[in-house]
Amino acid sequence: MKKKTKKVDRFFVLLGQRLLDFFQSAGEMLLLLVEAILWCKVVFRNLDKVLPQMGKIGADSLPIASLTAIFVGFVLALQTGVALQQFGQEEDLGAIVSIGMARELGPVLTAILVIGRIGAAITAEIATMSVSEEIDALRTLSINPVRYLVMPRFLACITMLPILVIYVDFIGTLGGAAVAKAYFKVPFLAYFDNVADYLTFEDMAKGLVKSVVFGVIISIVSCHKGLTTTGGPGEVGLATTNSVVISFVSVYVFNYFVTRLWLE
Amino acid sequence: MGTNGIAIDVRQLHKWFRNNHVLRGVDLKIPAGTATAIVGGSGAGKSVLLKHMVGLLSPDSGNVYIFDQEMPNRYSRRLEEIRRRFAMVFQGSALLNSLNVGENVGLGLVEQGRLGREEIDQIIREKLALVGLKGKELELPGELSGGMRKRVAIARALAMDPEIILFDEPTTGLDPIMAQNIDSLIADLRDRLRKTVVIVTHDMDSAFEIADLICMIYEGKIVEQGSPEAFCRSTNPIVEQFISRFKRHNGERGQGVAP
Repeated sequence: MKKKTKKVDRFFVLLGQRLLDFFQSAGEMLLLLVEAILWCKVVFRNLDKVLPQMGKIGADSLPIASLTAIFVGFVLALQTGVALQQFGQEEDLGAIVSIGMARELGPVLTAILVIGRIGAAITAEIATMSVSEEIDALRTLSINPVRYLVMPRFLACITMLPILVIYVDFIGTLGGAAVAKAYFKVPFLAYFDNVADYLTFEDMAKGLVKSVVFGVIISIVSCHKGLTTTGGPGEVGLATTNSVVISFVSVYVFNYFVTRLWLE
Repeated sequence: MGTNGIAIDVRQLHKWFRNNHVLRGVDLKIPAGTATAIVGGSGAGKSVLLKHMVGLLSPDSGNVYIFDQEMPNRYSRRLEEIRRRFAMVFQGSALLNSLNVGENVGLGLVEQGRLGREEIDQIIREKLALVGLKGKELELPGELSGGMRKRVAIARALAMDPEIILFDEPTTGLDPIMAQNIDSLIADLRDRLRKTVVIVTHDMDSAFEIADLICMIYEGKIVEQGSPEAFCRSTNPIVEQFISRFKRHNGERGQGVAP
């Protein structure tokens, strides 16, 4: 009986500890976000740090973004095209692919891509700096790490993610057009007429707002995980994995709630 | 400089890391313009104490005063102002690997934005020459040996023209010749530039060579402090045990420190 009580006690202690850690991390991330926003006032004095980050997140992501977007466009057109063919509605492929890309697939796929390519790299880089005392060295040189490291990555993420999303939407829609033409004999002109008829500015705008939210999540989670890493190289790997998992889950959860908000 | 000539005044400092009570009421006064060595075994709390002095850690209780000004516990403009009086050389050098040697040395000055590019370049060249690394501006930290990295870290610290320089284990991991070079460099800084120097070390050769004052920390408390000679004559059993190997070696070589 005593043993059982001890196990139950330990379970609740562990649960309590996890909950405390969760709320502490959430609070710290919120404070980091506020601090990063406040440091944006000195962005023009720090362009030498912001622009390279924009290049890394934006221009350097274009090849993999193109590849991902075009194949997603292919698959989306192929899967929906087969179903539409049964009702003789293949000409609606343009609307379905473009709206699907703009509202949902574009922002979410780009976020996943950026988490894997950039978020993980941000955490690994900052965590390595933390464990090798480089962050402490910055502080002793009176350099605020949030201004020097977080603000440029935060700004680059929230500005480049929407641009990448527009690009991904466009390439995905093009991919859909290629499949529509090759497999369902839908002429390019008819496909793009359909896109123009149904795709609204609102669809695009909703996707872009989502991408800004995702940019905030990715940059803040990645930087926070990096800055709070202590110990040695093993912890850098662990922090990177945690950062990627938390970013993925947060993007999925926020994606649902943002979509829900618009439907109300 | 403070009116009482004390650069760093640590009062009843306590620090816990979860259940580990690392600092247990440390009281320490470091006179301005002198070199003070804080010695002690691994895990005694030396580096934790050093990080409190520069505001990298906040005390759970107690205070740190820098030239009579209380060190703020939270990030603020005042904390940044106090930190400008400091420079710290970290155990692993803590150079930014993405920047070359020159950029590392000039980093603090560039970010402060008070000096022009030419002035900063001049300071970088000067400080690198001072630590014997003239012309190494364009090399990357990864291309340097441990001793050279330490010297770049010292040059970076000097570039900020601080009043107080903190050294965390400056000779750890270096061969005896390089360790001797670093010791001589630190002694030179104290003598020529009249900086307040604080060295955390467990290398007693370094401590006796550089320090005007040696403090021993044991289980989170200062158990002994005094001049190197007084320290050597200490009858405190903890100190005796800690320096016995050093005394034996120096005795064998006929180089006893104590008069």
